[in-house]
Amino acid sequence: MTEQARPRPARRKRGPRPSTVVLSTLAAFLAILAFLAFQVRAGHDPALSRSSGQVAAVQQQPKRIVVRKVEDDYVITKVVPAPRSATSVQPALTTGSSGGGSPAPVVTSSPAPAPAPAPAAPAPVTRTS
Amino acid sequence: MSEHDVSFPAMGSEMRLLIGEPIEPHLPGPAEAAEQARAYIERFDARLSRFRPDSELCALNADPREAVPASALLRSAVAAGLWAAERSGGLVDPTLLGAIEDAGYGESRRGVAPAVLGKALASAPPRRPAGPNPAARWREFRLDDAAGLIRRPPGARFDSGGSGKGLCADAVAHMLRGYSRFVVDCGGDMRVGGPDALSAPYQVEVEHPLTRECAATIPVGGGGVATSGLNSRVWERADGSFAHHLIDPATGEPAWTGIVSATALAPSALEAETLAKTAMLLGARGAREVLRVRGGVIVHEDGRAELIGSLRLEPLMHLRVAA
Repeated sequence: MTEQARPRPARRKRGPRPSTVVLSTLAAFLAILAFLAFQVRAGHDPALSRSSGQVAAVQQQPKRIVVRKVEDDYVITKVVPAPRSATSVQPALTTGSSGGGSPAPVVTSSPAPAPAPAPAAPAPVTRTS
Repeated sequence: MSEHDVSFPAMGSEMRLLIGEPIEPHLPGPAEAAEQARAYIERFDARLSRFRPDSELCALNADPREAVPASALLRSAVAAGLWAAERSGGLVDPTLLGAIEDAGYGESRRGVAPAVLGKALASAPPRRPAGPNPAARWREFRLDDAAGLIRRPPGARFDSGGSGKGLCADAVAHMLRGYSRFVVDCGGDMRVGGPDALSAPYQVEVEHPLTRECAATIPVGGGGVATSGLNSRVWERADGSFAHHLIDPATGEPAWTGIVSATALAPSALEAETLAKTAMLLGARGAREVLRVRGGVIVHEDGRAELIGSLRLEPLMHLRVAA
């Protein structure tokens, strides 16, 4: 009696190995990331892009800004060293200490800004009141 | 860049207004704005002068009640004086009227030639920094804005003095905030403003108290500048000694500290005036500390002008807030 050959089960089709999937995904991600980075650096941010038609439409409708009432002005200042220049300090001026105590922080030299056009009126003078 | 330029006497000093063009179309021209500002300053002077018996300040000082009804202007002036006292640690004391009168400054010195400062310095007592008075009466003043009252012990008198000029300069600056550039000079207490002044600052000259020459020039694009000194309010007393109007709160006598003038920069004229007077009262060493942050100039008795700290308030940003 001959043994009848048992049919071999059909070989299951195996998918790609997990490492292949991971590497492929990573490669695709990096490629897309590099492309987008290049686009953004070139000034073409896809998130901000607009068709020329949209831009034209926006330009045709200028924004209206309504200032109802100006309530107050606030000038926020910072203190910076004054320039030591012929226009800002008269030749008669001396700097330094007068004896007791350590010398005061004296105005340090720095590039003077371009002189502003002087008003036509004589300079204001602060004097002992 | 022409400006309307007007000078006139008030508050025992010389006032000066420099006003540029209005920024907003509904505002009057610079000449009319100057007239309005002048009228405000004259009203301010009339109501707060200690030399005018009919002023509201004199009425307050003479009132025997503990709580005295007072206008918003007088309450503002008292608040400014109290603020200056706090800011200076008690050195700028607005309740030293009795000591000032005792020193010989009971009447306005407008038009009276001051004594020769050099002569006064030669006979002055040893130099020393002034100090606060721990029992100063300004601490007893209370403002009740809700009821429109000033509360203080009867007999405690208030002198708006220099803080009044600083306050007035700031108030007029507020009136002129719609103009391109302006200077409000209330007898040396000055306030500069306007957007054009930020880009093209005024070159403010500091007058040397001994030579009347320009001791220094400070570019100011906005904020306050004030000078305090001895040269314009110094006199010889009957006994041959000399006195001036800057009283040491600790002694009640004129302060001789080794410097003859101090100029200070600050965001407002009131603060600049307070810092300048504080520097004068502290002498050179203390003045360097006081003026270090905002900047300033002191002039020593030997005539040397010393520039201290930063001398420029550079605008970091300019905000316009719409209602």
